[in-house]
Amino acid sequence: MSRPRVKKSGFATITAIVMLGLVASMLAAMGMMFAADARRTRSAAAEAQLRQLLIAGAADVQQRLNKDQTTFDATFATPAEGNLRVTAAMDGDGVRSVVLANLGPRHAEQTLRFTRAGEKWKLVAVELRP
Amino acid sequence: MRRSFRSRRRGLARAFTLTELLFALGILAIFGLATTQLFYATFRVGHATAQQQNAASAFDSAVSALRADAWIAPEITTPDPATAKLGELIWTINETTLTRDAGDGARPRTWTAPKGMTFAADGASLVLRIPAAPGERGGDLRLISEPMTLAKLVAS
Repeated sequence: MSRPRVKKSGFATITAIVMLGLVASMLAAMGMMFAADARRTRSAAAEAQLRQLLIAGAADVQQRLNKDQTTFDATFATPAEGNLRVTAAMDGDGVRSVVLANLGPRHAEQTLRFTRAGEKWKLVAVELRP
Repeated sequence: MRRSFRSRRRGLARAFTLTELLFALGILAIFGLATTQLFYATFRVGHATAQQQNAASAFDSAVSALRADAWIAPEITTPDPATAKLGELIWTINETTLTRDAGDGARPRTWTAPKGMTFAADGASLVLRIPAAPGERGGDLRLISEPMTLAKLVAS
C-alpha cells in the first residue's frame, strides 16, 4: 500500500541555491559600487569645503598683511564642526604663512609665501600639503 | 497471466504522458534560459563594477593632480582645447590619455580619462569639460588657482 521510495537527487534545490547565490553576489557587487560612489561624493564635498576654507584663510592673511600685520596666529570656528587656523611670521624679506583647515576628521594645509609689491603684499608661492 | 497483466497496468499507471513530458521539458527550458541570463548578468555586473571602479580611481587620481597643479598656478592659459599651461606645467589631452609634463625633463605622467575632454581657461580657474556619454552625465570641473583668485580679490 505504501508508495515506493523515490531517491530524490535534489537538483531543483541545488539549482535554486546556486541561483540565489548568483543573485546575492550580484547584489553585493552593486552594493559595493553604490557605496564607493557615495564615499566619493562625500569625500568630494568635504574636500570642496576644505578648499573654500583655505581660500578664505588666504584672503584673511592677505587682508592682515595689507594692514601691516605681519605676525599673527588666529583660529576661527567654521560651520559643520570645523575650524580654520592662520599663522604668519616674517621670513627674510617676505612673510611665510600657514593656513590649516579642519572639517571633522579631514584637514587640509597650505603654506603661503608673500613678498612686498609696492604698497601691497603679493602671494608668490603656494605649497599645498595633502 | 492475470498477474502479469496487472503488473503491466500498474507500470503504465506510473509512467508520464507525452504532454506531461513536453510540459516538463518546456519548464526546464525556461528555467535553463533564466539561469543562463542570470549567469551572464552576474558576470557582466561584476566586470562592469570592477571596470568602473578602476576608471573612477584613475580619473580621481588625475583630477587630484590637476587640481593641485591648478591651485598653485600663477597663471593659467589654454593655447588649444587639448592643452593647458599651468605656470611651467603643461597638461595635454590626447584621445583618452591625460598627460602631465612638469617641464623639468622628468618622464611625463599619464592617466586614462574619458574621451572627448577639453580644457578652457576662465578667469582664475581652469575648466575641464567632460562630454556626456552613455551612462555618464558629463559636466564641467572648475579648478581654481589660489594666487590668481587672491590677485583678483586684492584688485577688486
